Amino acid sequence: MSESKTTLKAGSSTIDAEVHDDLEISNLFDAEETWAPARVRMLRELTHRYVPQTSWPESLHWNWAKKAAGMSPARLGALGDIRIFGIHADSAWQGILLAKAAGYYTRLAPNGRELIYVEYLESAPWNWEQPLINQVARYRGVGTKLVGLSVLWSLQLGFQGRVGLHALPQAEDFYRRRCGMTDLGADKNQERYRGMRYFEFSVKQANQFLKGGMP
Amino acid sequence: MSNDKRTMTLNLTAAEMMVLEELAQRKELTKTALIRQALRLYQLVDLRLSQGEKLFFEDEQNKKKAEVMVL
Repeated sequence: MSESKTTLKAGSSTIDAEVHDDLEISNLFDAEETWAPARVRMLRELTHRYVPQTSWPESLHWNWAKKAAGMSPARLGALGDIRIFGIHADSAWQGILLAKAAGYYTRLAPNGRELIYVEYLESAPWNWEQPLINQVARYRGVGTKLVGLSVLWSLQLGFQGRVGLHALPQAEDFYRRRCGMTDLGADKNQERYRGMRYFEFSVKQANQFLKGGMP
Repeated sequence: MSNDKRTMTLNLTAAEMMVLEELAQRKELTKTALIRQALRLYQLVDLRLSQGEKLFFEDEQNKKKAEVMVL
């Protein structure tokens, strides 16, 4: 696992953080060990405040330990099709991104070119802005830095920065406005993607994103 | 991301080189990147087949599905 340094915004100041571009399965268990209690605390607070379930964070039910348990180690590593990126700070994982590099192709013209597909991206629960329970994000910029890492992997593989993903509805604005990805609308495969919208970085958009938000 | 690289000479027939060049051009990849991606795909397919899974090509529009036999 290789790492480099970055910073995260913490209120009006910043803290040092490590960028990891090759997480192992055990790191996902580590993350969930600290994130699960935070999810439960949030769930308790949402329930206590009678926040309707339709307004709950959409990844509240995610479980990185379960994702890790179903993952083959052979798919990670130098020529693996899966790579997991993470930001570590303040003795905990602050965000994780899992991406795939085989079998996914651009939907932008000219189609058929390879891209990196982001399967999962999540910040630690304490980094979610949740006004309904008066929670302010502890550290900001985690998601942007992780998306940047997926673009860098795309460049490293010769995919010229192309990255695609399906977004949960609450994350659509992040990919559309913050990242500047193209919104290609709801995926036609309703059964598999449950109406999620598909977003993609063109080569030009990926370059623009890196210039503005390089990890 | 590891940059530890090794160099090798690859002998291809003219026909094989033509396929490599055409694919690289169509995919907008260098020949090296294309070979790496082919290895990555082959490794993925081999792994999943070895785990008892099957490989299919599916044409959603025409409702056709065909198993790919990998030797």
